[in-house]
Amino acid sequence: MMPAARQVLTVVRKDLLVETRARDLLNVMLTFAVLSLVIFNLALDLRGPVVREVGPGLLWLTIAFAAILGMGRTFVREHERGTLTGLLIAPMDRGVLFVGKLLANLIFLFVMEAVTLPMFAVLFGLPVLQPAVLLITALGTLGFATLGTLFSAMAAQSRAREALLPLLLLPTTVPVLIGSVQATSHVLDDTVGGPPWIGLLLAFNVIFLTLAFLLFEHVVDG
Amino acid sequence: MDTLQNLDYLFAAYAILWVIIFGYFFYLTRQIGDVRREVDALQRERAETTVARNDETTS
Amino acid sequence: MLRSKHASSPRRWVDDLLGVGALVGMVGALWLIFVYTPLELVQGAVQKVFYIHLASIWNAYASFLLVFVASILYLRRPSAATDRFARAWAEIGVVFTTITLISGAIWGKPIWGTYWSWDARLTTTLLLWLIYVVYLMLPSFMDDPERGRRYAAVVGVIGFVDVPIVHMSVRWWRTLHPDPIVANLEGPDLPASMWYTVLYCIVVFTVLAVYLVRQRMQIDELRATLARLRSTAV
Repeated sequence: MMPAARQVLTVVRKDLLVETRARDLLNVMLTFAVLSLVIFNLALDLRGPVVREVGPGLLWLTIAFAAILGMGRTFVREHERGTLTGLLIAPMDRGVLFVGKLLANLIFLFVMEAVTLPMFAVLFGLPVLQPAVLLITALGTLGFATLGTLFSAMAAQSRAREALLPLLLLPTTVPVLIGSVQATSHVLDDTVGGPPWIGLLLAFNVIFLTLAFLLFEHVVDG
Repeated sequence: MDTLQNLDYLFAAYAILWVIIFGYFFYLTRQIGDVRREVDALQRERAETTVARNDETTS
Repeated sequence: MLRSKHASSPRRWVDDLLGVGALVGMVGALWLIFVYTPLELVQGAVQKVFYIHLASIWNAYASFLLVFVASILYLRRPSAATDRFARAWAEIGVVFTTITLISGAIWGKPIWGTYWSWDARLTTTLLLWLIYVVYLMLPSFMDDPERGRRYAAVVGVIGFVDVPIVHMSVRWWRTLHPDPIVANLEGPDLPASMWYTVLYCIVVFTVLAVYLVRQRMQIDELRATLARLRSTAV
């Protein structure tokens, strides 16, 4: 295996190992996601045909907020334990660190979604467990995780800690949010036309990945 | 045709424009004044101490 | 560099000229807008908001472009001057975005019947405003000022690249919904006097923005001088 790939795996494995011991990230994220589904339904009193219209939006708000909650933790955790310095001293490229952190975040988010999507399907009665929606979920999650990894590294260094993350992430990831919601709506109700959202999501991801990859070194150095 | 019916909106738009621009301008001017006063006071203080010291060394 | 307030450096002279120019220009703009240009027949008097609205958004976008360029320069070679430049333009950009949003809302009320329609341009402008407000807040969250400047630069880059993507996505999202009735004022059939006034307003607002930016940068320079004086305390 290439040394860079091995280093990436080391970073990912480290994050997963920390999580299996601390268990303060996945549990919080999962409970929060399920809780928001319930709270949304209570607040909006969702019944009848309106569920189909607003369902995708609710699903993606839940995913976005749970993602912010979870991703905020990953770097703050490093910061609190002083392990970030260790990672930065380690002889590896900043790009490797970014990809490793991104993959770890993706794994956490996918685990959260593996519970949230079935729960959503049951509670809201919408068929989201189908390949097209899963593909959209993967793409949308990648978009949130890409900028989320970059911004959570920034937020962890601030006095506000993870409270800063939503301020940075929510306005910049609007294209991902719109794309994911619209793509999901189109899959669930194919009578509505519109642009090829899945392709657009792909394009957004390419742009965000390039930006985040290039800027990451400026965020963790110094 | 009552083309002049929306004059109040027009007035509001221009009033807000001037309020924002002048508000921001005065905010900047006040800050410049405050900081400059501090810089001047510090420089004067510094100059006096230097003069005092020079007097000491020459006498 | 300002050594003393009594020094009549060329810089002060330029500032005064810009300030007076902007003020005279603004008053001139009022004359052009209210006396020179004809009354638009469909929208009536309120159409005259258009001139300041367009000049403001032009300034806002130009400001954020400058922030973007300065942010890239800062990340390549950090310098206090580059950061001051970016920060000042970002603040002026936010001021003009605010004017754009408010004037647009006031214009929209009699024309669309509502202050706010979630149309693509309005939504993009609001998000733009939010992104740069966060940009301005960011350094105050950082204990290390150098890190604050660096992080602001990162947001300055992402924010600007994000704008067209946000606009496209909001636009396509809105294609599913009925478009608000926007009078096509930017068409080539605008009377010449209106075009001259638009161009004039853009020039005047740009002069005003340059003046305000120089004032804004002066504050940061004075603060830096103050910090230097204090650190070399006797």
